Amino acid sequence: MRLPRLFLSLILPLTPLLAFSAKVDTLDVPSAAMKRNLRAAVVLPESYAKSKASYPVLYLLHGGGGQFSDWLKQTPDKMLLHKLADQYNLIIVTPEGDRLGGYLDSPVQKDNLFETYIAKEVVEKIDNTYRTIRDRKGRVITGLSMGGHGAMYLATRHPELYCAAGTMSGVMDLNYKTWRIDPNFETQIKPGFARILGTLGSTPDYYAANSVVNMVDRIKANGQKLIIDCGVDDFLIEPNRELHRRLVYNRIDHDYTERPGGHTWDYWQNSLPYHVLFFTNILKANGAVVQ
Amino acid sequence: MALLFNKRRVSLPVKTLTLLVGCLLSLSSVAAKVDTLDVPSAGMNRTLKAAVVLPEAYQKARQPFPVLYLLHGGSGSFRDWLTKTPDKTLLHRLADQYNLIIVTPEGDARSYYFDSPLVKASQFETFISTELINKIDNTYRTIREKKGRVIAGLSMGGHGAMFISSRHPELYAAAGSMSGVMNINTATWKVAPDFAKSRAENFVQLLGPPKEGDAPYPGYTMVTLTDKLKANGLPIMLDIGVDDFLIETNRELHRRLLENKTPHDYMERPGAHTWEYWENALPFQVLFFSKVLKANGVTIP
Repeated sequence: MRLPRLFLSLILPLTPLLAFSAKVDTLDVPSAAMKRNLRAAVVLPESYAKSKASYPVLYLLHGGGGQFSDWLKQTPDKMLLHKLADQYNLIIVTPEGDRLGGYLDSPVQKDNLFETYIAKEVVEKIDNTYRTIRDRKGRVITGLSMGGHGAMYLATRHPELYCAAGTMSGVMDLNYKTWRIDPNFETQIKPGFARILGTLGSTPDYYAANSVVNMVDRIKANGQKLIIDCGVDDFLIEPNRELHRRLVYNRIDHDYTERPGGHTWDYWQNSLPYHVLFFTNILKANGAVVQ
Repeated sequence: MALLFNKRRVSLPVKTLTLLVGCLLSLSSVAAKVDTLDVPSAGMNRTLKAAVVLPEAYQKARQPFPVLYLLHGGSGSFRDWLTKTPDKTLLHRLADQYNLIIVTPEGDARSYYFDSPLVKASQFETFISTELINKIDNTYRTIREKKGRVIAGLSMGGHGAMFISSRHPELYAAAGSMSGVMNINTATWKVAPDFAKSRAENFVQLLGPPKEGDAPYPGYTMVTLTDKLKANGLPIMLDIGVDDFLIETNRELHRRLLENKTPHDYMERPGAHTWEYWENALPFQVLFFSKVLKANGVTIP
């Protein structure tokens, strides 16, 4: 029995080169505010189990019509998050945002409280369950489409929680009249938006009040690090360009990228590693990386 | 400088010392090794230098490695990318992280990487695309074809990388520009008139008198080469700081590439024409290239 053990001790140090060994927990994260039980996936880098260090956390939000498991199941490469967690020694959390929760506390649908959920309940649960850096300097947030809106919206409204935020193909303007979509698609999405924001065109205009394009002054005051990207064939390209223009005009630092592609998982799989590289630079500057 | 540039021919004690230091370095995170290479140019009848960053894995491996050609800017030299970044181990770290050979060749102070029809001593398109590649491929274990070769640069070197790859798409799998001179019409630069005038005079020396209008040297600058870029279909990544004096030349190229539907990555981010900017930009460029190389099946695992 000695020999296999020796063999193992020789082989084990090599395995990090061969395979990704990040581990994924599916966690119950109940919402007291909404009186519902929701779930999140938590990707723990391989080094986490053996380490005593506190880890930075990336909150990664899904899009409209999606769910918490999307980022682990819908990317062409099913190991994308595992690889990034291992490569950058980062905990990645993908929480539930409902099919169209909008990542906001709805002024009209009183049991839709996803701002409270993501920014308070999820963060508390994660910080109480894992060895995390319990401070904004170790917390970053990004997402795709509606989750891009969510990440920017929540970071802007809770600068004390996140040091940086990103958006991929994000809904930077909730007013869907600014999107490049056909009338059929508009008819499809209308009721979902009306549920959380009221009828488009009514007063007060909750669409305008909750859109990231209209939060530029607050974004400027916060001074968080921002990364924004969108595919040039995406139906959301124009609101992203509009946000970029407003940020440039107001001299607000941000990374802005346009690249090939539409509103697809191929695009998001390509995009996410750039976001993680961007965040890692900030976490490094904050002294919040695990060596 | 001595630490960064181990000459290939070194005396024995130094060699032993290098070996010892190399062993110690391999325990830390950065173990890439840097050669300084003499690269003769028959075209220019002179010998130029290039630095070659070899990843740690190179020595122990038998596979051919992909190569990133990384060009310097105006008034610079081949040493710039190894000596001017705030973090002097940037290239070492990237070479190790991505298992990539990084070559930083000499491009003279103001060659703009053209083959000048007027100045015999300035034949840099031929140098970079032929003489340098031959030398590198014959000296190191490289992937000797397009699929394993990428090229990028900053400022004049951003122009150089885009210009040379656009004219030799059979040689490079992808190209990138950081703060690149995407239009050599100095009227489009946000600079003082004196500076614009001196650089315009440089183009007169290299390329002859300008044509009238917005495009003084058609075919010699990227905003006039968008059809070629489209036809070539190389993955392209352009980035620029919003406070850079070249911002409008990059926006112009981006607009034209959108108009003729040429796929490309385009980034604007904080910053100006500085080494802090390029130190930040390069890892994103290398990430971009690593995806292309991976898709081409030429990355070392």
